[in-house]
Amino acid sequence: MEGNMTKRHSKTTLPATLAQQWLQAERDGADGAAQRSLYALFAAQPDVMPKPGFADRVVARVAAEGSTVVEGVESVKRRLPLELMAALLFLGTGLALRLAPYWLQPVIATVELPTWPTRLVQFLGGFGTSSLAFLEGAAESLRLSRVVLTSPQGAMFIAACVAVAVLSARLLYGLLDERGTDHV
Amino acid sequence: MVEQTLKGSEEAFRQLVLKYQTPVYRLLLRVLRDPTAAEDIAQETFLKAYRALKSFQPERKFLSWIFKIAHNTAIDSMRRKRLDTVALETPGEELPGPIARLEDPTAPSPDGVVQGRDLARDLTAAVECLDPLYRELVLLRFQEGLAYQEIVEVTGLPMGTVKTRLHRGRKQLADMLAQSGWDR
Repeated sequence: MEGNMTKRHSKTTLPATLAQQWLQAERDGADGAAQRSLYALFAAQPDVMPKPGFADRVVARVAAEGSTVVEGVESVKRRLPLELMAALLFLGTGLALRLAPYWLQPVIATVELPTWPTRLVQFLGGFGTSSLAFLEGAAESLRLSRVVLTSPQGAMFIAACVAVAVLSARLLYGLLDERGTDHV
Repeated sequence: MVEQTLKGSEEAFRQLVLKYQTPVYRLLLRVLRDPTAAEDIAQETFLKAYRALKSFQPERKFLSWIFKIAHNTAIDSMRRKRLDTVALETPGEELPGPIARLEDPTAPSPDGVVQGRDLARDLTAAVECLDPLYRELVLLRFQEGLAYQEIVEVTGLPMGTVKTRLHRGRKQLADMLAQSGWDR
């Protein structure tokens, strides 16, 4: 039974009878009948409801939450008017630009600014040279891989390894999942 | 109702809550086994649903969508509060004995009504004694009538795991009810 459960038992069937039918179906190994009977048994149980006024309480909380958010935003706006914030930002930016050369002077002196671009170029050049060896190795690996993969035996071997890895991971996941306890 | 709620209709949202409060509360009550916690988390569920309503896809069933929110909210709450769950150890170990019934010496002779009440009590107790790995799945399938795929969407579990745990949970439930004498 893949789909939703459907009621096939009369509502007048006693719950005790439904329980007997379900348990009998379980003993007989009739999976479909057992599922339907168990569903009918649950459907025949007295309903449980939240305390009266539940919906009102939820709606009240939603309304209160909305007003709290609005109040918070309004409070910030009242404390810092837009014009004041813009003025502070302008002033701060101007001060930073005016004072930056004096603040950064000691740092610039130690860096020897005129030689800095030269050092950077040397570093990038050295990095590029060492990268060439890496790229050559990667290209050779790709070439060898292409040779292996285009051969029937190589392709079958790779496919078999992937299948074993996937099956093992799936089995391990299933075992770990069965032993997991982090559920309601 | 969803569309009207998105447009800002408080009444539409109230109707939405009224329509789904019972299944959400019922599921949470049976899962958490605490009416107060169930109501709190049910409220939290509807609040989260309200905030996330824009992301609801109309082609989906609203019930399974809100069950997913309830499922995640319950898990988060239990992790925060470290609610005590379970009486059972891993599946396969010895099941608890027949469920103790409250004997009322003044009760009239057994008839359909009294039997139904006893069965409801025993079924509720059996569900509460189910391994937590199975409990929520059994409730979603047989109490709420969700399809397998919907249960997968609510819980995030693989289909195979859902079916396996449902099968085991049903068997466990059947054994408990049979031990209590409901198979006669």
